[in-house]
Amino acid sequence: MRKDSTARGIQDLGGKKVCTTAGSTAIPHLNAVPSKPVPYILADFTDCLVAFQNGEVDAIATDDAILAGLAAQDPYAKIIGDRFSDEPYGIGSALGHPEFTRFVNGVLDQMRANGNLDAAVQPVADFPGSHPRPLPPPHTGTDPGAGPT
Amino acid sequence: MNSAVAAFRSFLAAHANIEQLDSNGQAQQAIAAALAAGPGTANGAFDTFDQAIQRVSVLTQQSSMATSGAPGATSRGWRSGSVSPSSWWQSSCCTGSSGGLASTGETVDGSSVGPGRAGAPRRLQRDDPDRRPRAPGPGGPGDPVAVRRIVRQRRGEPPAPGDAPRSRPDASRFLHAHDPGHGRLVAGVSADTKLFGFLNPFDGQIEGFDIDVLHQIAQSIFGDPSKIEYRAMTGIERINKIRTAPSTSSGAPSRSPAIAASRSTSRRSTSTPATRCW
Repeated sequence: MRKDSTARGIQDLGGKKVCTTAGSTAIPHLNAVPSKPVPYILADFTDCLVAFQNGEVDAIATDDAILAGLAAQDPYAKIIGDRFSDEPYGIGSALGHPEFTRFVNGVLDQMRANGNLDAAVQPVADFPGSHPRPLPPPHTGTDPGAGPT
Repeated sequence: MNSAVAAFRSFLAAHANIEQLDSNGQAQQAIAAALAAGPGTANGAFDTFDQAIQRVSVLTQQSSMATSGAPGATSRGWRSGSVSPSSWWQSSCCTGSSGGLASTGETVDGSSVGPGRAGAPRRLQRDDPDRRPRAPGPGGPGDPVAVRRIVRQRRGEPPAPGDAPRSRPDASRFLHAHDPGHGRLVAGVSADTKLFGFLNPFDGQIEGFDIDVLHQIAQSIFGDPSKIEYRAMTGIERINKIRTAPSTSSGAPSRSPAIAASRSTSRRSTSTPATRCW
């Protein structure tokens, strides 16, 4: 949001244009918000930032770590409100290669065990306004039924 | 000329043997056979063919000079160096696997022969492509079209119009997948998302959490965290790319790991790091 906005959260953005990116899981979440903000879809978050700075949109919606990165690039922006969704991070691999998914899951397990995952998360966690938190591993193998999305 | 044709037949036979091993699932044996040098091997047979074709070239050149007397005729002929069949093969395999996002390999367009296992390759030289030695028998081994195609492959050139389609030996796929130093992880990333994938304008490198995780994956595959080819793209492009990435029926390990590091677009991803934000 603009720093001079009086909105306190997503509940105050009914009818306002809220930018997020094509394919983002923020879109269905925005559509589910009772206040009915209007999703405004662009290709990249930096496109959203430009639209925000041009006054084309009122706000940008995505996870707090990305918002923190955007806010750091615009001193006239601020982050407001409570979270309205959980957004797990993931790695997509090419369809048709379940063996590679298993391999990547193995690498992630290794990273959890040897502390490399925490080390990679640390700069994100240290960034003002960003609050990543760990999850237990949701899959130990591959689930061919779930396509990469 | 007959010796060149015979040598080429020997090479084809050795080559067929490798393909047979590969088709039977004997990948390790196929690799060993493809890398072996000396008499009786595909590499040895190709060397013999290579030397024979040079003799043919000299003969043709002398014959032409005798009949035409044209000074320009001296520019004909082939001079080949130490390009090993295995490096030719490498070139061929790289071209064959240039499937876009999902391919791995140092050379995706086949435009360079690559480092080669038998030392630095010297380029074949030929000045007049239409005046090359003729081999007898259209269609079979020694067919000039086939010879031309083979030589173009060795030189790392794209096939010329009228050339037969480039062959793609199955064993090359395994060579490619197992050849240290010739693979890399092709990853679709964001280059404009701070903290995750962000192009550092000072050093031109993409950096962030996504990149750190990719380094770990590349380290696990190749033993080298830098073996990554980044393709900057939007989130929706990353999703589309991994949905449409070509796959191989062989399931050759590490050949087609197209991965798209993503954030909020990844709720149904099958690999999920233990992190989430709110």
